[in-house]
Amino acid sequence: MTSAAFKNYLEVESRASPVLWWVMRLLVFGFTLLVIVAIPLSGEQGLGLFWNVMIPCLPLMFAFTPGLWRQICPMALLNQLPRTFNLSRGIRLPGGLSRAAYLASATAFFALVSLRPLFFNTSAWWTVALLALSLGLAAIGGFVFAGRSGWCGTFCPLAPIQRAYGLAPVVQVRNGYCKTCVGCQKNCYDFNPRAALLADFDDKDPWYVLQKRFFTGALPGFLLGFFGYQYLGLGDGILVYYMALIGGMCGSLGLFTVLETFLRVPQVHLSAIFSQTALVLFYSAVSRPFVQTLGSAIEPVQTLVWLDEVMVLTVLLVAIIVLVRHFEAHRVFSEEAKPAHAPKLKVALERLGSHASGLPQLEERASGANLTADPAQTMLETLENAGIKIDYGCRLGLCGADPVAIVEGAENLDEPGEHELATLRRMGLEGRARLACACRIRQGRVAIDLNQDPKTVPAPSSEAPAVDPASAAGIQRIVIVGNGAAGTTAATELRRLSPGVDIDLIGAERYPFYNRMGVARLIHKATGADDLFLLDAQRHADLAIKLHRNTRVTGLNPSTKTLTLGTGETLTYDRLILSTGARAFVPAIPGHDQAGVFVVRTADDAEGIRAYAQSLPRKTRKAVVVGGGVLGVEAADALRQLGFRTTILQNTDRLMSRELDQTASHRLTHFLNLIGIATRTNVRIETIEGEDGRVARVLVRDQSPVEADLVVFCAGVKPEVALAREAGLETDRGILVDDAMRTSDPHIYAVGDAAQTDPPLPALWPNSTHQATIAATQLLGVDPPPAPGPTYVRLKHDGISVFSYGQLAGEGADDGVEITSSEDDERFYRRLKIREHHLVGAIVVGMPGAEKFLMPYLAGAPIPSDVLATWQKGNFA
Amino acid sequence: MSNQPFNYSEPTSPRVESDLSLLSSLTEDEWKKFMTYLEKVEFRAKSLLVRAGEQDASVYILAEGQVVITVDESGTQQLAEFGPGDVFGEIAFLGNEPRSAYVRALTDGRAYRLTRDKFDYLSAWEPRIAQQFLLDLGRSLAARLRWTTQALIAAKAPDA
Repeated sequence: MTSAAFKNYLEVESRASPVLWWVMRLLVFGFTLLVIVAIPLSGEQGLGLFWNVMIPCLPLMFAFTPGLWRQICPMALLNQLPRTFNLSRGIRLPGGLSRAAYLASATAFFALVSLRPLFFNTSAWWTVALLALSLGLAAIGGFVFAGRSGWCGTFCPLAPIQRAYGLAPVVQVRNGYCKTCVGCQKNCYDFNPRAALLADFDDKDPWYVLQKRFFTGALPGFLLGFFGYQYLGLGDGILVYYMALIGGMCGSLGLFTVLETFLRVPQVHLSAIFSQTALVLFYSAVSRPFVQTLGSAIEPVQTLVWLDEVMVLTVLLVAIIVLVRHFEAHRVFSEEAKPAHAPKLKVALERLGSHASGLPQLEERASGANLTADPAQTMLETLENAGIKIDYGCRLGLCGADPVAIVEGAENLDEPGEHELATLRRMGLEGRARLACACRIRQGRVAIDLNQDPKTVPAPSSEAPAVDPASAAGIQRIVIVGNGAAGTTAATELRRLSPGVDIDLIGAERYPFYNRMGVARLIHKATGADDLFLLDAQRHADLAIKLHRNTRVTGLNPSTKTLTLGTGETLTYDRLILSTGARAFVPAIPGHDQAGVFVVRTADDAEGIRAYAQSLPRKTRKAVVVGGGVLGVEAADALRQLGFRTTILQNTDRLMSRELDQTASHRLTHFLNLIGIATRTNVRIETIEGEDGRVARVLVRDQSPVEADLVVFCAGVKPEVALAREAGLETDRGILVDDAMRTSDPHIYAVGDAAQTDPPLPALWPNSTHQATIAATQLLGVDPPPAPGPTYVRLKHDGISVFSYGQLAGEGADDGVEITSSEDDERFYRRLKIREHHLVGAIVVGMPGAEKFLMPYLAGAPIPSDVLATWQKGNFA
Repeated sequence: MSNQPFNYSEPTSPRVESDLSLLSSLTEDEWKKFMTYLEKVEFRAKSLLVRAGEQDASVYILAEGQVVITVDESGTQQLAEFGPGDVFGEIAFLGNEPRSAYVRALTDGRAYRLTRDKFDYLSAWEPRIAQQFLLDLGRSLAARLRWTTQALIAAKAPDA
């Protein structure tokens, strides 16, 4: 990453042409040679000019524009010449040397400066030797080491003082030697002078930091000792001289530590302050000799008297500027040196704004959520879109899995439909709750509370019938065998019609009435069967329905009107309703009875699959679902969500062949394949093979075998007729009944999946509950309910809408209008049959919500001509 | 990265972009379609949006509010902060493995969540959007890997 505030040399423009720089370098070099020659020749005055005038010019340049010096420095020239002419060996400075280089140059600086009064100040030859040695070492460094690591940035004794005074260059001059950076040293001053000191003190290597701290911390004390010794005239003793120097350095370092420790000034700031203090100290000391030496060299002396004060003030100003620049640079540096966040993935905010204006609002008090409701969406969809967990079942208002207590704004909901009302009535919730899947918010604001049990909402008062129809018909006791949708509906319907009659409801399963349409969910969800309960034990008690759970009926004697129970008890009845239901059909395929083969009919079946699935190793889970009907597809998806690679084996040419046509089924198959469910059609299963006592694969005629750790049969159901047949009632596939649901015995009725009407009806929830209502009314001699509209089947899946309603083919298929959506529409397939403005059949497959446009017309409402016209144009929105 | 002023590589060498945009190429209509696959999550300050160990392979898009990613539930060890527009959770989403960190709300806010399931449906109905979504996730992970690599190099080489 580059930094705008700390531009490295590659990112700044050169201030002069390269030619000009070379001319200047050669001039300075020539001048240096001249000085070397002139010093011995000119005697004391030359030496004085060198030490008192020329050298004191450098620190100010270092502070103001150090890059200028680094461009024209004669040592740098010699150091860089081998590189320029490709003569350098270019060896990388070894790690140890590189680490210690700064300390070496700093030590050399202190040592050489301390030798000034002893040798250099007074001896031309010593001075010349020093200059020559420096130039020589610089040249050797250039021949041997890469980049500027042989001298300029490492061993040069002037390097530490340049870094210290020039910590925040006022004018940055581009490094003109390095055509490309070879990365020869750490925190290179020629690469990025403004950031060098800041990076030095931010280094992870503590020894590296200590070296910088030592130099800048000791520098002001060193200078104090150096100049103080001379001013105070402490004599000629070398020992005293060095004690003054070392004492100064120690005092200075001590002050550094005290400030750092007690005032908690960061090292990097102390270092800047100390180095700029040193700069001012230096000029305070040298300004007078500077002026005097210069004055003695050029006449007249008088005009230069004020120069020393100007000089010190100028330096003070520069030091302040440098410090101000340092603090600003440090602020920026710490911003940028903060651990940079890893790259983030972002979405433009304007896309996430709320589109909530004017739409109805739904407040859910349990979670505190305020949701925007689309009037086209059901309350269930609105809640689901917000990720609020709510149980659902058929999503049609039939099963009653999702009653919701309306706390406020019930009037803003649409009117409940026929199915929803019937379900609410069964649950005793009429006027107290709504079913989330069946209601939409039309306008305004509705508040619900998912934590509130709808049963605690006070019920609207209702009138009891004047005469109990049961006692009028001479009926005392009604027994119902089977507590599924048919049996339970019969029981609640009987209770609604007759407050006094005794009702016994006998269930073979251990659960009270639950939503059988939702059992596939128990495979992949950890919620357990309780979630599916539609009528709990308490509600049965409230309704005075005597529920016998986990109870088998072992015998029926129609002549004595007696039932024998598995417990040995007997029950007598005035009227009996058989709603024994159906059991899952498993074809007699070899191997169907081994471990790992399941059916999905009851909650226990589904829980059993879930338990077995978890006993399998996690990586290799494969499942086969036999049967591609609604239940088969739902079971396959449940297994997919549990992490199984699932294959559906269908014995016909397509999935859901009873409900869907070729195109619709193909769309469904395509979708399932895309989400990871494999499908095979026209499959004849030959054997289910096992290994180690459990299922391993399914062998299929004329096709490759299918690996399976788990096989689930969803191959249809078989009515439970044994009890009726043994009792001598007329049975065929099911128990034969007339239009009033009466069996061959006038006191016995049969409803639901166990009953066989003429013509037979498919085993669907609405058929069962309708039959139960007929039986209940007929039995008590009251008016039967109106005939329901066509039934519909909906696949319960979040990712796709599959909806089939009424009939598209068969009797009367020729009259009426058929509307089919365009083949090109990959997202929606719609095929509708409309007769005299009434919907008689529909198949819809598509993105979730694809069938919404049909909802208003399912209950038999006429379709307006303009709506029909838009449908015919292919617009169903 | 303390040595960022001392990245000696040529300025022309590729550098890691600091932020990347998700699905910025979508049209308004496509974006609306995409949004229908998202669940809206409204949260209160201090609540936990994600728990480590949870099997919840969802990507979150933060619309309002501030959240912090922490290693421990109490939140003493913080990994990153996210604000409006930020996307997080893609590691668990792509890895389909249990969550490796906690996400706690610092303020009240609103986020959108794409579950794995809904992503499957998105892929089925809007393959182009799903493909772009995955590419963008991949791009951001690539950038982050490159960033991590650079940080590793910087941390490993004190004598560079």
